[in-house]
Amino acid sequence: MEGSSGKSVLQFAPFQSSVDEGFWHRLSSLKLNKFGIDDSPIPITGFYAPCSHSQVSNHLTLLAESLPSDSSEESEVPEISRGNRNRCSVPGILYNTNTVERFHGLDKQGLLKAEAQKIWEDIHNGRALEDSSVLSRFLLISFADLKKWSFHYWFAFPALVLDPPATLVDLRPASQCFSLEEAESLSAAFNEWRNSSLTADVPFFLVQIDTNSHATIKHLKDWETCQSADGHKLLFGFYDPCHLPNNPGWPLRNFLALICSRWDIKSVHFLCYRENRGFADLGLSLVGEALITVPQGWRDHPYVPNAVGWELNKGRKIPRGISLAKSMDPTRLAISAADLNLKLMRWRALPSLNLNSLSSLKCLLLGAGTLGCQVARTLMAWGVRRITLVDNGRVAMSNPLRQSLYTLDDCLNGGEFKATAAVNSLKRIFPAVEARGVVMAIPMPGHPVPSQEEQTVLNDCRSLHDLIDSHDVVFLLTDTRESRWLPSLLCANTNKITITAALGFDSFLVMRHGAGPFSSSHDSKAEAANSLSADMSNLGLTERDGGKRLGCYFCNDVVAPIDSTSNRTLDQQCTVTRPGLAPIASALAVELLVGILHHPHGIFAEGDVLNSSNSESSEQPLGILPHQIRGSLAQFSQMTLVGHSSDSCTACCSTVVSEYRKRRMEFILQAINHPTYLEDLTGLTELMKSASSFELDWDNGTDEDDDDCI
Amino acid sequence: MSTAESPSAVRKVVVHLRATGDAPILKQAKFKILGTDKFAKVIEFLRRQLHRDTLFVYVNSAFSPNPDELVIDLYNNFGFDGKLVVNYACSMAWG
Amino acid sequence: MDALSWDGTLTSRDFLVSARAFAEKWKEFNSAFPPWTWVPCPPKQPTCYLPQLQQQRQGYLSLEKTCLPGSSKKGHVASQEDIDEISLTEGEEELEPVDNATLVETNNSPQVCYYDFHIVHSDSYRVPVLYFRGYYIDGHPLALDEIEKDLPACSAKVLLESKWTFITQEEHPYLNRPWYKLHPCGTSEWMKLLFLGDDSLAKNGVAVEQYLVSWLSVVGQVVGIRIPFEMLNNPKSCN
Repeated sequence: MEGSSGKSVLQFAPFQSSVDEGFWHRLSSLKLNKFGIDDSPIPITGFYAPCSHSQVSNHLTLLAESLPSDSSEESEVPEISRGNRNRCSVPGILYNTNTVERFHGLDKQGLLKAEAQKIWEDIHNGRALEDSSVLSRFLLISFADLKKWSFHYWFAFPALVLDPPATLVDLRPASQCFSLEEAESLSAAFNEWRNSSLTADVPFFLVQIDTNSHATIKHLKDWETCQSADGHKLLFGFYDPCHLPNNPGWPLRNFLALICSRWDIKSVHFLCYRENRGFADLGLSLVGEALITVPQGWRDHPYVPNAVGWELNKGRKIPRGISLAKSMDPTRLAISAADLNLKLMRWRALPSLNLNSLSSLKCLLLGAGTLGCQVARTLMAWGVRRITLVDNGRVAMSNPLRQSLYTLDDCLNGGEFKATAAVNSLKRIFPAVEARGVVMAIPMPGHPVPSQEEQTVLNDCRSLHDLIDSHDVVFLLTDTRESRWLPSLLCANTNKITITAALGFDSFLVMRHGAGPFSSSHDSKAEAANSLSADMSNLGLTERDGGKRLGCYFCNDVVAPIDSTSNRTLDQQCTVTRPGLAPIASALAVELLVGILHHPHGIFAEGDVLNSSNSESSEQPLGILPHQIRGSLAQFSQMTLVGHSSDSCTACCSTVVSEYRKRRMEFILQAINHPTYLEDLTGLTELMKSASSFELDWDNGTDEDDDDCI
Repeated sequence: MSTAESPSAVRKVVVHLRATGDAPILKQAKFKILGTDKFAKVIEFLRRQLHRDTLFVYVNSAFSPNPDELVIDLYNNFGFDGKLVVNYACSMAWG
Repeated sequence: MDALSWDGTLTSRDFLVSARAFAEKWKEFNSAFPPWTWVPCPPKQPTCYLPQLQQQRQGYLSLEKTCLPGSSKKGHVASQEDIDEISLTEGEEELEPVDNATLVETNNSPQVCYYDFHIVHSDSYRVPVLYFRGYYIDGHPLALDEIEKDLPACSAKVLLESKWTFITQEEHPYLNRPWYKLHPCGTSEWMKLLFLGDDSLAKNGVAVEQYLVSWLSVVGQVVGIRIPFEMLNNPKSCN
């Protein structure tokens, strides 16, 4: 024995905690589905193993299976199985509070003391000898903020404090403490102990080395039998999670308390068992000798020693926190899943797919009926995130079956506004969508306005103007022809990408409008500053194909838009279409848009026709870019057509657009109130008088004005 | 084969580059490379020859060597008939 | 299987065969590394239409808590993401008496990161899929950008963007938590290439046992798992 001056206090490396994501996932699920506001303590199981790395200590780990299973959770985490050498079970208790205030207000000293008392009692009643893992009993307090997917938590590993503390006589690598024979026999005994499912997870044990160098490992309860033999070494061994060369790990503390209070040993020879690659590593393992003075009062059973053991957070006495929003917030998961899907599509099939232009694209949908609902959904599927829906109708009982964003609930109490209901629905489908609903009527020519309502209509005109101005793409999806007129004009004026879809009973038209009449002038250069059209207008400024622009929805008309609803019977007003038609037309409308966005000439791109010999367009990764698609369900056929702009178009010809530019609201009011004004202005009246042979061959004359019931 | 006799540090290995799938065929298919070079050098060489960023490169034993492997090690384990056969394919039509 | 007509896929039955062969070979030639273990899983719903044999095939090959070479970080940074540290740091508490038997550790040691790898059979693509995740030693999960820093520098970027090895995040089919995975949509294509290049295989047919070894030689490069040469030496092509 060394002189008292050389004695130093034996210092233990604190246990460290590690909490697997799965633990928090299961705790959240239990809290939501089972515990509710019940915050009584929950027994949990921690796992640890001997240190197996010369640089890294093993941590006490909590996994999903540390918690009781939650029957409603469909995960298939295997339940705890005993005998896993890398998962020695340690009992613990969890106090999960309902509020962060309760978390901070917990009596931490009291809780630690209560756990320490359990350990103390298990030492005295002998339970610790039967199941030694209770010596490492631990405590966890937590607060689970399920709205933010964040967790506050704090571990304590209660250690009974020896007072005065144990002093260290000697500590060195185990390899230096044994003869060659002993070491060999010891390693073999350890490997056997660690490989048997009966003992692999028993963390405290006795190591007995006979005079003939034979080593055996025994359970604590066999301590008495070790006393009979003579002349052998007896060491108190434990699985040491610590890797440090000069300190034993935390579990030794309560082990010493047990040794001292049960067996009254003053000089304790201990062995810190550590391993490497699954085998006992005597170079890493430590053997030491500690001197204990039995503290005062330890012999009186009701007395409970002081305890320490709250885990520090980076050296400070504060709790830890973890945010799992990334893996638990459904919104985030939906966003990342959607993004990765589109990226995958790009890598897999469409390397030129411009996902950024899609996600930043601002789409304005005029009309939130059958077409509007379906267009919005398909846009979202392409990664479009900014969608504005304009509609002044309410959801009627007949709507939900055909209009895919609505349910019966939206029809109750008079019906929700479609614009509002559609936005809510889009957000339910994909929370990250930036959807906006505008309840507004679109002013229509041929629907004269009483003077007292004039101001309202003018306000609507200005709103519509501003809406179109602030979006990159406009979809015309309303149910009357004349409601498409003002937007067509405004789009031609600002040179916006415009797509029209219109339905008959079993036929449909989907088309993109050509650029505006002044698109190649200074006007479009100003427009070029606008985010999206910038690259497109630069490329397409020179008018192609002899200056022919593609037509708009009204270019092929011989009559100006007038009131198409007032002189009709209900059947005609409420056009009945085959239910499959709207989804087909809507899908084509969106695909047409994606085609424009990926075409080098954008809005100025010529209209391709199927099988056209235009080799340039067939090289586009998305295929051809038609101007119009007309389809018929009666023939299950579809054709692509090109129609150029008309000089007497009531919506997009230069006469109309320049008149609008000159007189603005005055012009619009005149068009609304005087049915023949537009025809007179554009010369259509003249035309109608003089000719009857201008119908284009592809114009089959079906009434394709309406899409759904009003 | 005289791998064992010459010190591997200076030994050169004959690498036979063989196109598979849609990959273009190189004019010169056999090259000598220092055994001490990493396999990454072979990949890089191919990438520059073919002007492709992504290539799929593998050897004759149905595996794709880690770029950190030494060419000599690959030759010693998978070389045959005095050379190391390296197959390549292009992963993407673009790139 | 005939290598020429083979489409590069693997049935779930062959996956199990290959997984067992792989795990054994790994243990034999790579004993310094933790072993891959087969984790059996009960089917998600009791599926009475599946024969019992097939139900026993449910499961995955697992390698957990591995340290990738060079995967130590400066320490978990309390990032933008983390819960408001303010509420955590309301002030240190006087919890317990000063105890001089507690070792005060200097906290300079680099943070260790662990990786878990699971190889799961995809029924729809009929190929193995690598699922993985990374976390700090205290359990904090690693975000994808942090993981990318750990990936082998050699052409990591190219690998991440290649259609053969594209990383996505998806629910782990058995754990029902989001894990990262290498998307399997190109796997059968390059598996076919790998086996086509092998003359002996063209003669002898595709050895199911060899499938996972070949497969991991490719996907392992993305995540830094190396395969010892001894595992790659196909006994059939040795002579």
